[in-house]
Amino acid sequence: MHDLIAQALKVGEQAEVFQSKGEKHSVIFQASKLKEITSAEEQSTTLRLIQKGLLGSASVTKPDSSDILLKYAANTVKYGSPVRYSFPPQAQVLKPRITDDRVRRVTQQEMLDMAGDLVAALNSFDPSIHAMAETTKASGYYGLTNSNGFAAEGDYTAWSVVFGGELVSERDGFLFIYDALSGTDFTEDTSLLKARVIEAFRLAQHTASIKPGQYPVIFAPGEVSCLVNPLVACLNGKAVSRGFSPFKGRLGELAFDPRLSIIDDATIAGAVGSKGFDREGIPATKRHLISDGKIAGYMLDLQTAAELNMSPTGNGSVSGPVQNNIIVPGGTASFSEMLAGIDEGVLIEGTMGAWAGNPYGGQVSGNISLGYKIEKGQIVGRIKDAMFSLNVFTDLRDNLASISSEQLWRGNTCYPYLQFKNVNISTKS
Amino acid sequence: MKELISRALAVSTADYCEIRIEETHQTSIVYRGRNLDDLAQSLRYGGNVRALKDGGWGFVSFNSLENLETKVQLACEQAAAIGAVKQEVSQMAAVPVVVQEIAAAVVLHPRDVSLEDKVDLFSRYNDLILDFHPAITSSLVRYFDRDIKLYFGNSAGTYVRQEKVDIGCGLRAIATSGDITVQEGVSTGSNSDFGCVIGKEDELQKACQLAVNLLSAPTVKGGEYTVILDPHMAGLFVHEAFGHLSEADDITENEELRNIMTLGKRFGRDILSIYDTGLDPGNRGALAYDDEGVAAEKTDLVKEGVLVGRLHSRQSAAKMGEKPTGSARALDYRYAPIVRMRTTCIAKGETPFAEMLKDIELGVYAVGGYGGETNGEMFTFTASHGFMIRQGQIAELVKDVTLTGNVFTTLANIDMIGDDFTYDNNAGGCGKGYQSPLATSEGSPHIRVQKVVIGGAS
Repeated sequence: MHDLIAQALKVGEQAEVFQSKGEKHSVIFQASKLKEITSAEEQSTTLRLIQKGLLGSASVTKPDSSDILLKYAANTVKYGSPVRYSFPPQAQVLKPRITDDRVRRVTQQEMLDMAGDLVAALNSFDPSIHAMAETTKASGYYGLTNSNGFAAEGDYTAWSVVFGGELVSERDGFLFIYDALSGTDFTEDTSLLKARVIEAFRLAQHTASIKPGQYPVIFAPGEVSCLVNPLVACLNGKAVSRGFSPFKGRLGELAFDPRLSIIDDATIAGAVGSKGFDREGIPATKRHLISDGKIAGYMLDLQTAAELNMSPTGNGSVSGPVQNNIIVPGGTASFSEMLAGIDEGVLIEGTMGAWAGNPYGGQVSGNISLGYKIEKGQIVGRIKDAMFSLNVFTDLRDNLASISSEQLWRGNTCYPYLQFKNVNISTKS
Repeated sequence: MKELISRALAVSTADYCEIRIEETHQTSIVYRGRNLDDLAQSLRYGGNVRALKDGGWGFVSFNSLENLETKVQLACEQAAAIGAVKQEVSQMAAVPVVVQEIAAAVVLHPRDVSLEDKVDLFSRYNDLILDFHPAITSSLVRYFDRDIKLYFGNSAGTYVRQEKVDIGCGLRAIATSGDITVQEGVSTGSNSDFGCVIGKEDELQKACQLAVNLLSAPTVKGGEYTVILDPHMAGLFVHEAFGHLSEADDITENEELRNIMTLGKRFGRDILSIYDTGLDPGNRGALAYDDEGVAAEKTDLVKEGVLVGRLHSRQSAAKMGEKPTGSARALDYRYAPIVRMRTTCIAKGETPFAEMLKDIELGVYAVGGYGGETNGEMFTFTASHGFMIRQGQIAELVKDVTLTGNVFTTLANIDMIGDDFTYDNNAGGCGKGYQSPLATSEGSPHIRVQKVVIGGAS
């Protein structure tokens, strides 16, 4: 990388090189059958140059092609984006643990057995379910060097299990249920994942009808993302500095229910979004974005921090600020207490199309692809042909009933159940 | 390259083996607000080997072409490991062996336009947005072009070298008033002509005015309505609601789904015909050969309301005893081809727009598509904006128009199809599995649908 930096400094005043190299292996069951084994070798090099206050960027996946990399970086730096920062010098980098040697040692047979066991369990519950399971292990190296003295590198591992199934019938329609576990560490025990998926299929066996109207609604942890994502988009430094975000200039303002906090935490051992330093060499940390309902911080890279006259927050990437691990801390109610308190309402476990709206407007609408009717504290059956609609800016301020103590990790997010007092549900009249 | 591929395939021990190698040079430009946010050029280079043995697939992807024979052996070993468990007969529908080199049929190649001119063009669009009205507080202008070389060879002797181009741009105005933020814009693309992104000023000004107007527009009231979809929304609908259901790889292994998708079954009224084509030149979804070396075609899916066809890979076609349609597509070298759409269309009908409106007491005219999703049976998609229809007339502008429904009921409820037709080549793309966004296009007239649920305010 130092050679590349030296060559790059012939066309730019500052240079930064990021390299990664890794491999990934998957075993895939589909339609209850073993379908595919895959292997991937992946490598890439990205060069960023600063010259006369402009930034150019180039990347290649082809080995031994630094000539193309240098040519593309030199092309783009001539007309590139104006920057108000310098690449950072060396910093003290704390490294959360994001490797587990056991992942590297997992054999193809272990991956086959684990996925096969999940498929067999689901088919044992109901042979007509078309079960799917995928086990994936990955490992590799990454390194970042710049011409101002920053140099750091590290290894990573990743392990994931995706499990679920499809049930299709002309009478009852389509039912898709999937769940997953993922992290940097190998997880041998898939019993909770197995139990969650089978329980979801069990609950969906009965159907229930619901009239259009306003109901108490519980969003399951996996679906809280459709509510949190618009907030995270609005807390992104780029949205703030470029004027998209309604949160601009509102740091410290109580904008949400005081029980709601959102944390970006890059320090958690074993979490897929953890890292010692971001893609620009800024140490990654743990920070509140929303603290007790108040807008507490933005996610900033070098450029947006400079534009807002603030400090970068360790959320840099090659394309702007990105989240590390997003956590919504748990509350006091248990999920069973939430359920017990609802006379007539809805539990939403799956949504469809809820991402498709305008995140900066706060309006979130989507089909309830997997949802259950709650009557007198009990789940009585699956609802279909229904749609929810709320505004996260106002409903997370005025309409939040409770936050569960239980939380669930999904990728680089960790969310509890969120219960709302009243949510508009549209159905066939 | 032909020699390299041929030599490596010679060591295959599988029933079928293929190698695909890709070299893609990309330029991307992004403006957010006044600033040029990103200007980058990249080279995506790599390849893969896919092998089929006794019904099991092995797949190996890589960046380095060194030791290609070893990669073929690994894919064959993976396939054999599955085949040993499955003990099935490998099925791939027969297709002609072809040896072809195909240059991109280009009108104006993006590589013939200088980077300086590209930056200047999108800078002017960005300024147009930001100078349009004080309520427009920001912009999002994205452009990309891809200059693609694909090399494909298989163990039957097919070798196809294709040059392709993919161009897309999205020009978006963001208007803000207090807590309200809205977006409107223009999106376009092509597989052959940089000219598709030139001369968008008038269209962009209209989008900017609409963004300003949307700030004071109410959120649509949730409920069940008669809805007219403009060609963009109708294109999104036919892609999401029916196109995905026509992808046969999901049907082959699922007997219940096969029963639902039985050829000859009625899905709509006589006025409804749907097709998917790789042939219409200029569209982002157009292609000469798919990623299994099968020539693209126009595939009728629904004719006069009746299901007449579906989209196939060689494997899905063999399993269903049907013919491949040139629909096996991969996002890039990192992925195996799966059955995907190309340009999915509702065929032109006969009803003038005014005729659609005239007997609607209360309805919604949904315009422009943000995006959508389907799970096969249900769909959801969001319009960029809408208008209420009252007593047969277009009435007030409304925002946050999200439609949902059952695919089959909604298809049956299409009661009018317009006498117009518009292609949509927006800069987004289609997602399936982990492969997103794949270049696809849609085409449709206006359509009218009875009893559509719209989510919104109470």
